[in-house]
Amino acid sequence: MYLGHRVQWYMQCLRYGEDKFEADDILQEGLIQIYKDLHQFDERKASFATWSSRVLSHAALKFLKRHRWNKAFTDIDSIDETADQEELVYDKLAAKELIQLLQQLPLGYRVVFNMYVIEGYKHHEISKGLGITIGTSKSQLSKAKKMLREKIEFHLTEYSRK
Amino acid sequence: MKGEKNIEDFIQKKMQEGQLQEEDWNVPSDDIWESAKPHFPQKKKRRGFLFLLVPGLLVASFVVAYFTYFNNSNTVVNTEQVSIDKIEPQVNEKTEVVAVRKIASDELVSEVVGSTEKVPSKITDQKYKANEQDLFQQLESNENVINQRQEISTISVKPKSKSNMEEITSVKSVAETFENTLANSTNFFNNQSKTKNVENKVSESKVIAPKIAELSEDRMDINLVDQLQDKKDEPILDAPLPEFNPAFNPKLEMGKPMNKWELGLAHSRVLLLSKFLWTDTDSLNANEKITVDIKSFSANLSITRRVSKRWSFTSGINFVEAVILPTFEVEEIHEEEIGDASFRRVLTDKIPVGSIVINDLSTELNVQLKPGVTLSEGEKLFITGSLPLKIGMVQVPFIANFHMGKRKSKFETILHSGFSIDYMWASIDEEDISVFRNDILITEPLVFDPISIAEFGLSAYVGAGFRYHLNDHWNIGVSTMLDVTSLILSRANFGIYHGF
Repeated sequence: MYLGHRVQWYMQCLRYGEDKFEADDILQEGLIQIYKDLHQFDERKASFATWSSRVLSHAALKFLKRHRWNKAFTDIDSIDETADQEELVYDKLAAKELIQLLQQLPLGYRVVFNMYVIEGYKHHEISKGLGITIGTSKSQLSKAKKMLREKIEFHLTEYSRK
Repeated sequence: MKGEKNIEDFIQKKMQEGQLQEEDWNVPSDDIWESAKPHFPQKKKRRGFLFLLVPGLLVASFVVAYFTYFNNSNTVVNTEQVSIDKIEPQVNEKTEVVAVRKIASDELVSEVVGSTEKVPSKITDQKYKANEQDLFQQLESNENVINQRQEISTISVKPKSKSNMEEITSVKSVAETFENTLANSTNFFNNQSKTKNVENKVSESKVIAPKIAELSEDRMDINLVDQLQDKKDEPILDAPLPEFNPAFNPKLEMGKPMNKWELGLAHSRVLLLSKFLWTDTDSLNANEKITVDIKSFSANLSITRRVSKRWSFTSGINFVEAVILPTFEVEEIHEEEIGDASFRRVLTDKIPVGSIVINDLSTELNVQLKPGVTLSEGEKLFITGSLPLKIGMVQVPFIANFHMGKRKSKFETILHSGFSIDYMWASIDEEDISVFRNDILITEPLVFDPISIAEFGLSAYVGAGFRYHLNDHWNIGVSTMLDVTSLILSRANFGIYHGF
């Protein structure tokens, strides 16, 4: 089971964590949680991949809340917004690089982005899970996308120079 | 890349691509698994069914007593010295016993039976074989054992534990056939009390078995087997990666946890006690009014074991106490000859007194007219009375419950079915029957001897109920149960239940 899902799980942890080490810690806690909750898994409601992904995201949030959650949603507005740059060839970007860029996002951006874009949570679910308003969730998502876009474009610019 | 939707699609696509193959960056270190593994919850052993505990203990006690007392009666001593010229080793793999049959001059002179070291369940057949061979070597190579074997017919080897450096080998003589010894070997060697009883009857000598330390190679096998066992638990390495669907929204909820045990306390209201309901025995009399008032108290204490999502089993104790008070007002036209006997017949026929039968409990009225009072045919009589019946019952139920409803729902529907062992008592302590003619009482106060019964019985149950879950551990419920056999009793239970 672990070998069959470890890549999916680890990539999820990499998206939540700030770096590989944090992702390792999240995965470890997530694995323990998955095994603890395994008896609650109901295959009629969701696939194991879906269910375990949810458990893992809960574990990730728990981890992040415990370690450095205080400023996750307070320093958002201080980040400058920059204008869109010209369209680049995004497809050159590999998943590994994309995850590295995701890891560079501020914690609040990163968590909301992960939950909404990749894991399919709705804003009201995110607001409930993180204890923020729906408006905050939406604004963080918007800013996260913008910042990520900038980072991707900057990264590709650097890549093309090399 | 324009538009927010595009970046979402792009990232989802990239995440999917990233999972298609394992690379250094997206495969977690093995250390993570190793460090997480000790924290995984250990699978709890299934606890035996509580209801089977008492009968199980009884059966176990009987078995132990049987093998302790009955088998020992056949024990005799055999200390004859013989010269052994042939040894045939045999193995009973199922009972983990090895044996050596000794033959001298083509005649069986003795059997040597030894239990191997208790083999842990996860040790493989290879390990088991190693143990067998090792025991044979012990029997063959150890001079002390060989000497003892020449004197006795049975040897049991019971290492205390794997870590003990020296083990005591008990040697004793038992006149059992070789086949029986093998067949009963598990019980024989595991039965310590039997061994002690045998000591009183036979001469027993003890020898020191070879030190287990000499079996160092064997221990290495155990470690190796453990490692192999760990590998076996891991999933197949080349299992295909699951399809990744990042944009799901399955509305997944964990649902409430399933408590394995539940204690309940319920108050019951008796809805129906049909066996004691009075019936009109004669429809000729139009002016009859019979009412039955039931006052009852019933409570039950229950313990429930949840064995699966759908099934649970309940036992406990029910207590029922009820007072059934039938009262009747009957108008009768006296049609018979004047006299006590006729009057009694009128009463018993026209008033359902004769139907008061609770199993063997019955009562007969003996109403006496006042002195000087006579009755004529065609006179109208008005008879009133009451006959309070007290019953009590203690029941030990065994009920299977089928749970319906979604786990995440706070409501649950339960179907019940089962039986109970009952102890019931009933009594009629007083009677009051009066006969009036033209509003004048014409009978003497009733002389009545209290009657009572007490008996055991069985009841069958069927019922249904609803539960409302207040939180993960507490729920309240209402259920109705129909109890048939000793009584026809219908109850409504209102209870509070605590799961743990």
